[in-house]
Amino acid sequence: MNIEEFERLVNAWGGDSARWPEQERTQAAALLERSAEARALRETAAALDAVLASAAAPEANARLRESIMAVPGRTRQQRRAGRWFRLGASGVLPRFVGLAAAMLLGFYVGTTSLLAPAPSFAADTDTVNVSDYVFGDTAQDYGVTVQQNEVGL
Amino acid sequence: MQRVGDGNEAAYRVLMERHLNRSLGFATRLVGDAAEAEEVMQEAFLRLWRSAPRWQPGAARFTTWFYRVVMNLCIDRQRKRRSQAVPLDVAGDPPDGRRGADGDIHARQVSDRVEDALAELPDRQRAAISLCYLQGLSNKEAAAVLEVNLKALESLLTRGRAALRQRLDPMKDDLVGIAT
Repeated sequence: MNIEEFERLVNAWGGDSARWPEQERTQAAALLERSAEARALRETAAALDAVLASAAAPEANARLRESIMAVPGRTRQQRRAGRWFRLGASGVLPRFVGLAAAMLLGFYVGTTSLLAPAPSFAADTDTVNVSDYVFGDTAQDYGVTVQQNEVGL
Repeated sequence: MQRVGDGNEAAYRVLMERHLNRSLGFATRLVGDAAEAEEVMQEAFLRLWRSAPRWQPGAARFTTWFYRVVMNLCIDRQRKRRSQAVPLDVAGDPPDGRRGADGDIHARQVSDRVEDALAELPDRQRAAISLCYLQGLSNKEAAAVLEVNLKALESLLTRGRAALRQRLDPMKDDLVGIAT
């Protein structure tokens, strides 16, 4: 390695030999041993390295740290909101809501006897007063007399 | 990064503690504005969190990947800013959030001069110098962040260092204490 090659080396990679490309390190070290000019060039490069290293690095303030630490929570919320929005936009959610409403209504009707109860078929035979179903308690008012019939099931 | 991908916030905090200050310094030097650099960092960590579930170990080193994200965000902002450029006499002086109130005044002045000299470098040279000499990345890592080969990195560093030497030479006497 000659002095021009060494100058090119330190001008690019600086005075710290750890940064020099491996294949050039041995030759550069040999030149440094025998050349005062090479040593001067290295010193100049190292001085610039030191000046650069002295540049103060800014420190992140508490507000920035908090904001960065809030990223996971914010992302989860957005993802949840986005999921509901996508379901709504695709029509799946309205259909699901409609189905659930129908099921709830069915359950309510079934448990609150909103409609007339069906006759009980607990026994194989039972006595059914047909007039109760046709006229309810007002059968007598219509002058209807109905015989009680035995219905076999 | 894999643990972050599993939703582990403690692992996310570790990455933040390890990389925030250094990458904030890098972003501040690239965009030249502290507030904008902070926005870049928020966006960079958002991308980190979102990308973590798809992270493939061995595909890239985390530091290299993260610095590239930061650098690309800075470049995007600079492009936008240039497209909406305001005349300098209207824009006034940029805010300087680089320095805190404490610290030695002389060291701060020197540091300011170095930062100013760095700010005058073209973007790629500034990025190369920052990555190698201020962020402490290896040559290979810096080349990977910049997506160039070592020869191209060498060229960026040579031109950047020459320009810095030229700019800092008039203040050589002030800088003596730093270099020894």
